[in-house]
Amino acid sequence: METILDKSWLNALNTNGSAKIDNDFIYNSLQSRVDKQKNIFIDNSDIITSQEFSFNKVSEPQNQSFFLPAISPPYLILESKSYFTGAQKWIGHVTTINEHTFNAQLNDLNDPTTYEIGEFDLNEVPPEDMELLSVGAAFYWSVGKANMNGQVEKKSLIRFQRMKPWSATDYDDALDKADTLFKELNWD
Amino acid sequence: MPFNLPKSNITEITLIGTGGGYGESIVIHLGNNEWVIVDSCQNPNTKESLPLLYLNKIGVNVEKDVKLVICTHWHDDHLLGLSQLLQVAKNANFCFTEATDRKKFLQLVGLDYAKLSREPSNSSTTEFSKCLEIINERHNRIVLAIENKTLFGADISPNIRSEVIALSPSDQTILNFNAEISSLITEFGESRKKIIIRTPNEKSIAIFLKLGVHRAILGSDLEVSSDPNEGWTNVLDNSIVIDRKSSLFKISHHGSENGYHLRIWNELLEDNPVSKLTPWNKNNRLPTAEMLQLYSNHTDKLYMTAPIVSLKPKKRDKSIEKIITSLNCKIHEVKYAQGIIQCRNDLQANTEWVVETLEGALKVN
Repeated sequence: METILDKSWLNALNTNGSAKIDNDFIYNSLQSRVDKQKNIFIDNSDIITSQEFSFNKVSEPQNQSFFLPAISPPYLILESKSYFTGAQKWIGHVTTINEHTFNAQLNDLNDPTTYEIGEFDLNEVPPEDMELLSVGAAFYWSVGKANMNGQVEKKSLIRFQRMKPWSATDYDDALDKADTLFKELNWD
Repeated sequence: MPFNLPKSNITEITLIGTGGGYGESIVIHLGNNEWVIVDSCQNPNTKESLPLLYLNKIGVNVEKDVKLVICTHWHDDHLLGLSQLLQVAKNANFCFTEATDRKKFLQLVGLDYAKLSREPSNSSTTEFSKCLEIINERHNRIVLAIENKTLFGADISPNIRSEVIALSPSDQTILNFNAEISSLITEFGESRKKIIIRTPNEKSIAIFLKLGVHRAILGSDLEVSSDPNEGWTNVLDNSIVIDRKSSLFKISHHGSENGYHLRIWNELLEDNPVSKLTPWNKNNRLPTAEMLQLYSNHTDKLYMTAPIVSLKPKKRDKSIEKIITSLNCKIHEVKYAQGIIQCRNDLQANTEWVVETLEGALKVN
């Protein structure tokens, strides 16, 4: 797998051939790679559903070498603060919203056979997700154990589904397909 | 021997239902190996279409002999597995509720389908869209249902005819649906949110069957509406196709109170008709004990496809169960159970229905 440093080296060679490493590039690339991994974990992982990492960007060293490893202390320091180990995961669809609770139909992602009905307190919904709560909305629900700086606790996590917004093209494509179907169907 | 092919002069109306809100389906033999299927449901464990399983079990040539597949309305518990069935039933036309503006209706379906196809979905829209694709590929016919329209007819012999006739939806319902489609497209909304059709039960296709000398009513999920031009009241006041009372009734909307009208029993049904229903056991349970008692007062031939069971937590690994319990999570499994109520009769003879309760089905009284 290409390392960030390799990419930077290639870029440097391609531009002016000089031995110049772009620390900003390395930092941003690494951060975006971790963010991407974080999203993949949240969406797909059965084991780890969220992680928090932080990077400490230090001042630029004076002498660089092309042959440094991809993560080269003391320039970038990875610190794991806490993590969550999901034991069971569902996708839910909100069916009713009450004064203090909401109900949902739950499909077990570990065993997608019979479904379940769940009742949740509204205060289990993260504040940043409250605007997404509505009848028909989809969410992921995980239960498991969280390691909060060494302290293990049982946790329930709800996260409402966020999807890429529709573009005019998406909308038009769907309508075009419908129009084609309308013309082709053998109506009574 | 219930799991055998009926003879050509024997009609059959078989209700296949599930106990947990996993749906219902009806298979109808009109005579002479002509079959019509109403709705579909699916085993959640195996994902098999239950009417297809039944038809294969009794030896029906599904590819050739299923002539019409009807989707009575847009609810998951009536649609799942329908595309699987249509895939095999190559000779079948596809029937669903009329929409005044067909193009707009397809646009609505297309928009919702495009939303849902971003992730695996088991929803009714996905299933319905697949059915449309299958029918389109084959250039089979789309039959649109509206009150008093004959959806399918077959001459079984020179003096026996069988027909499948829609009792609903009414003209008024279809007009209202047209307006609803427009507003749903306008308020299409965010990509993550499913489109929700309001009150799909009002658009249900209730069916009147003429099977030789016999008559039957399949109530689907049709309800009694506050508008006399919709629902059961419209059928009672304005239907022009019911020529005599029925001896068999598939009770509407899981035996609920809003699917019940005394006039149905007094005006549309013979005394003591064979009556059957599929229970509903999700966040609320249908039929209630009171409604079961009410139906029992109308007939002593009341059948249910499965018992109503209590909701309990799903069995899981002990460690996971411990976590769920310790978090005080309130979740219950909707258990799956299946039953079949098979009813057969001679097309030409005024005889009683021969009823068999198979698998989990039971006689209530």
